[in-house]
Amino acid sequence: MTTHPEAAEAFAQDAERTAWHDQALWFVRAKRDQVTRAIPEWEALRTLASGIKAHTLSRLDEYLEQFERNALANGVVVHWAADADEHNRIVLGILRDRGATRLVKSKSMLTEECHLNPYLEAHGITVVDSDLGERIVQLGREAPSHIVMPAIHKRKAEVGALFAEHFGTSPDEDDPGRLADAARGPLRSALFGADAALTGVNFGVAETGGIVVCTNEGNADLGVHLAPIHIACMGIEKLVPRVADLGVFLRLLARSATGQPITAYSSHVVTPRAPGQLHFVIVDNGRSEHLGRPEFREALACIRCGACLNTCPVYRRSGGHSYGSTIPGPIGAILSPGVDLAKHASLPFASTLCGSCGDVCPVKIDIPQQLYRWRQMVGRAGLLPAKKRLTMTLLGGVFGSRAWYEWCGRMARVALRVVPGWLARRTAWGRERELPVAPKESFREWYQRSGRG
Amino acid sequence: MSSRQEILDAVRRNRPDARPLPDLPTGAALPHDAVERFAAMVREVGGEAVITGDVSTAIHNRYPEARRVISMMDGAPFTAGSLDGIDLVIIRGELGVVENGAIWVAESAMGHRALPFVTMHLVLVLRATDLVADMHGAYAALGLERRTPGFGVFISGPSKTADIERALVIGAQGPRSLMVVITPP
Ligand code: SF4
Repeated sequence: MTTHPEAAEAFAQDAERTAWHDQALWFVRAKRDQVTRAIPEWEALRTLASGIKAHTLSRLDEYLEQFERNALANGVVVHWAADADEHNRIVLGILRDRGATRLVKSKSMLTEECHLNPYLEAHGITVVDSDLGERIVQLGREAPSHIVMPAIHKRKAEVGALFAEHFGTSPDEDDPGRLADAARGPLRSALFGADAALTGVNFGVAETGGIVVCTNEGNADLGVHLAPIHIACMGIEKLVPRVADLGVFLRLLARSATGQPITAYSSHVVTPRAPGQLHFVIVDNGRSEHLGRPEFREALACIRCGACLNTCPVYRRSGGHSYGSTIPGPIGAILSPGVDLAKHASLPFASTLCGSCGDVCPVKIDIPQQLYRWRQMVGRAGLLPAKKRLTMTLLGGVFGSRAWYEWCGRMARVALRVVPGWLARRTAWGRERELPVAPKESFREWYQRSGRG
Repeated sequence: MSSRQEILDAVRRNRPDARPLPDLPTGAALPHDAVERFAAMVREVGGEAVITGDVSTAIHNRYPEARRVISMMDGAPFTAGSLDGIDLVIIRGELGVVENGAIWVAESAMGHRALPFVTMHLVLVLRATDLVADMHGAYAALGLERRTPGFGVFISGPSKTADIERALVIGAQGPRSLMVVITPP
């Protein structure tokens, strides 16, 4: 099993790409700062959003039932999926019922989580991801590396090479405008020719039984208003009680995500179009279990804006694929261990605990605190790597005894003077670091010598 | 047991103690220069904005080449054939939001849900009196909890993407331009 440090090392091999990735995401973070500062009540909005989500989670069963009741009254077919398998089977069933074989999808991290594409393809369905970034990673046979910018790990020349292969553009073409233009034709043909369209859900509204989908390209709308079947897949945690709650969340979402005041399209779908079918697939897949973990449940408030990824010094330098899970970055690092602690044991450590993710999160999830708690869970479950476990045991001994601590301090000061830097750089921690200059005496020694003790 | 029951039971078992539902803001007051600010925001999100009472001249001047033009201004349903190959669609917007340049368009104004998205260029016509300061004001004014259209959308600027190296490209899969015509009272 590949751990985060191992996968990150592979990404960081390409120093130029890593530097670009770091800068590109930092630029988005800076834009986010700029637009949020233009909203004087920004902090009050975050508090409101966090409060609305906390309330919704505290009565989630009632809101789910209300949402279902209203959706049924609107003529929507409602399905419930306990896990990823059931979700995939339901989607295939809907398609088979109508003899649909060509599906267009618009960005949905939930279907990534359920690995829907390979399942459908194995059953003879042609799936086209219609968001440009999603299409790029689909053509490259990769997973998205970011929840808002799926192809952020790819350089334009690589996109050019992919498009040359699939869309017949010149292999030297690397102008983003011309490349996007080259994809427009094939994507529109797929959208116009689809038998069914599948979307994710940004928000489900209990009060109306409707859903809201936010995109910039318009691909979700092109898909669902042209195809006779719209399937919307929604995690149970996506609900808000009132339609007016959207005022809070739509003000926060795009500003946090990309620094835009709102996405180009915020589509409110309530009834099936005539003639046509509208299906909602409500998916649990571990969420209700997560709700039962008091210390970790607030992560379910996440609105998937990606701000915590953009600001994270570790994510920016290690790339989304290094997390080995559908949701990368800080939010992934606190959600994935709840799904499979052993598999994702290294993720809570993919952080400097600098706290930046918690500061930018529009729904005020205390991500650093959760990372810290997951670290303790990993330790308690005996899942720390042997080296870390040994270090922790040794350090525990050192910090537990004053004499031992003082003696080690003295030794460390000597060691820093005599051990060559290259030796330290052989460890994962020291690889990119210089050793500090050792002080001659410890703080305690100085304190006592100055006669204050 | 059905998955539905299983999920609802698990949620009921695991849900946290009751937390209060916060009250929502009703929206800020409209600034005195709302029209100009709204127009500036439309431009900032990649659209064009014109303030004029002469809607048809404004449209003709901007899109002299447009051949297949569909106007939904009279509120009739769309029956004019294929949804592909439309150069220009003209739709009346119901409400404009000053803080983000977004315009609410409900299904009844579109003629067909796909029209604002399939067209090469989109024109939204909005009365200068139909502006609100922010999204709270928008939802308060629309009252979607009382009468919610089968479909409605906030449109802010033309279709766009930044999926290739974060470079902004206007006109992804949807309209390549959006012109907002604001008609003075
Ligand atoms: S945890 Fe917060 S910052 Fe991160 S994606 Fe979710 S909502 Fe955005």
